[in-house]
Amino acid sequence: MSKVIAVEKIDDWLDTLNETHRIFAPFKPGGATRFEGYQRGKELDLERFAVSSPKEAFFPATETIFNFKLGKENVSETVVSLESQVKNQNQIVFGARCCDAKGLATFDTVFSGSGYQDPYFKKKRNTTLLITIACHQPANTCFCTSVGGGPADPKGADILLTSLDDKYLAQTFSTKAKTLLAGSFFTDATQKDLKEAKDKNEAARQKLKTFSVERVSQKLTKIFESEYWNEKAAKCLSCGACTYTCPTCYCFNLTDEGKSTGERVRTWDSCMFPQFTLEASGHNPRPKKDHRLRNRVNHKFSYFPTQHRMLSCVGCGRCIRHCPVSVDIREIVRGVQEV
Amino acid sequence: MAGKPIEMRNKKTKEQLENLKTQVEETLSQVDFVIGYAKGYDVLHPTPLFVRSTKDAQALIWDDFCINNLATYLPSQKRPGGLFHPHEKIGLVVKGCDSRAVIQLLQEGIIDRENFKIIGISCQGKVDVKKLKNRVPIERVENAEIKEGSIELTVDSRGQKYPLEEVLYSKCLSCEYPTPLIYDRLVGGEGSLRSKGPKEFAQDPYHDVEEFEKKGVNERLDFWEQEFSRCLRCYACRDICPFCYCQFECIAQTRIPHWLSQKTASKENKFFHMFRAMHLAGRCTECGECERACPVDLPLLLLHKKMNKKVSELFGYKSGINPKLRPPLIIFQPEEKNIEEEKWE
Repeated sequence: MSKVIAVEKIDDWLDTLNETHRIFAPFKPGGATRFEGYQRGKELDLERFAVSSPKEAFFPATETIFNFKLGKENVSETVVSLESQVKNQNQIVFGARCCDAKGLATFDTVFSGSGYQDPYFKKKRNTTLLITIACHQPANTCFCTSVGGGPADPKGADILLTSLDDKYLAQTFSTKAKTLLAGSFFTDATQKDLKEAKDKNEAARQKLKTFSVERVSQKLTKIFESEYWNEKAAKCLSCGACTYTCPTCYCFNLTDEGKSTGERVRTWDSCMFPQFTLEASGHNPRPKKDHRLRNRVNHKFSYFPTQHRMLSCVGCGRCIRHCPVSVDIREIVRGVQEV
Repeated sequence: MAGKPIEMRNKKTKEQLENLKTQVEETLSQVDFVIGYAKGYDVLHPTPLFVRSTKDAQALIWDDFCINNLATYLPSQKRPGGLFHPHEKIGLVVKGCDSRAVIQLLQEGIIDRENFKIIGISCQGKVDVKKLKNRVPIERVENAEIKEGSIELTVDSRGQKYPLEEVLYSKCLSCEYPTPLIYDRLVGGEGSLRSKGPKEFAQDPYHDVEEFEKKGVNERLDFWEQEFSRCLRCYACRDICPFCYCQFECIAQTRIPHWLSQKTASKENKFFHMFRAMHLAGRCTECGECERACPVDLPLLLLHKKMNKKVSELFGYKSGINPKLRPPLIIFQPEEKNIEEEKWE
């Protein structure tokens, strides 16, 4: 189904959707654009790239797994309450980029693939619709076309919006999505609209520089012990800016917070932190930052493709854009082929 | 600002780069590697360069965007799991503001003076990319040049122009040390550049703190709670800080004792930033790298400047100026001149 909506009607449409859904959209509070709960009047930002990815809608930075209450004298009096903490609410992620939607495929594989089924993730995933927007002005850090995506790739999206001057073309890619395009905000798209969208999307694709990642996976396994990693990691600070803004990084920590009463929480973790692999014995299998950077690149371009037949990098460029020392994963991956 | 000093500025910057390359090449005979700047993924983002050969040195750059405080790499030498071998000697390119970090680290006994060589470089102020970000889509900037007191940007093949004083780092507008306070070699020595930095725009270094102090306590609290609600707890602020060298002993992440909740709500985030501010009081040299590194643009320097202002009022001390002095919060005196404990209730 292809419809069009006037730019000035977007807010009204979101208002209507907001009555039945919890909406995450890119807003611009205090400078940095990020995905937040929708509220009319907040400044929606569909032009600039959001700092963090919309993975927060499925995989919040902090999530309560269960609550507990410890018995004072006797362990047998300890109460663990296991009632579901996941709210049963329909969600919409609005204004995500195509790379963000593609990133969710990594989450689907890990949290609801053939192995472990994560109820916390699945419940939110199954009740969420994704409305993506095609990129017409890629950033100089974007490389989606190099990792199998594209600025208007509808993969993973329920609805793809394409900006056409004073209106948006809305194309549906799931049955559920069709119900969202009902109502007076939309009119049928013409052949001219479709043609214009196709041309614009193709022009955007042409703006992106594409490099090959073919055989990177095999090459990575061969250069595991190479000095290359030492060179590339020299400037890395071991912070989590890359992994926390990444739309595919799914690693988490589990901690019990509180004393006599408290909760077990799942929070984001980062393979770039020295503590990530620190074992209770004090041994750390990845004690140095070159080990950790090597792991991040291998995970996305070798381990994950080997296990799941897909890259776990979507080329959004956030890790490059937000790295305080401009570590560039494109440069590292291209360099791997030349080692 | 008239056109002429800016023309001079660009000329000096180019001359400095040639001089810098020579100094780095010469330093290589005394150290294992020198850390300087190279071109990054775009014109606005230079990146640290580890020079191990004269060939590497050809990639060195020096321009209006070389902001990284490279002194942050010095403590790595002693960190467990740090990148460098403890016996390796390091050469480091430092600006005036960065040199304060080197001095502070020496004062704290974290680095050994004989293990590194400093190539100081006089600086005329750097462009704050976060200030540009609020004006143009920086992710599409194709070129940036300083001309006639302005910065000229090319975005989507179109030119845009902003006055330099609007886009320089605030710390540069109140810079007192354009020439490094400690060095083995100096590029562009005193006299060859304006000796006082971009004084044309001079501001009182604590004017922003004073402005903020005028607000009521609830207003200030609301402000910080709002700001900290955005924090991702990626620890980029901590990990780029030259003085946050605790690494995996940092109490933000230790399990035993479990000081700080891993939850990322505003309250917990505030606790993290508050204890970091306490730990940095009188140590922070206000390089602003924490604020630059923050992906969600938290105004962290305001917090650290406030603590420094307090230390300055109480102890008359300024961090990272004299390697022979000991910072007031790492020494003990039975009685402090400006703290009248007997009057406490």
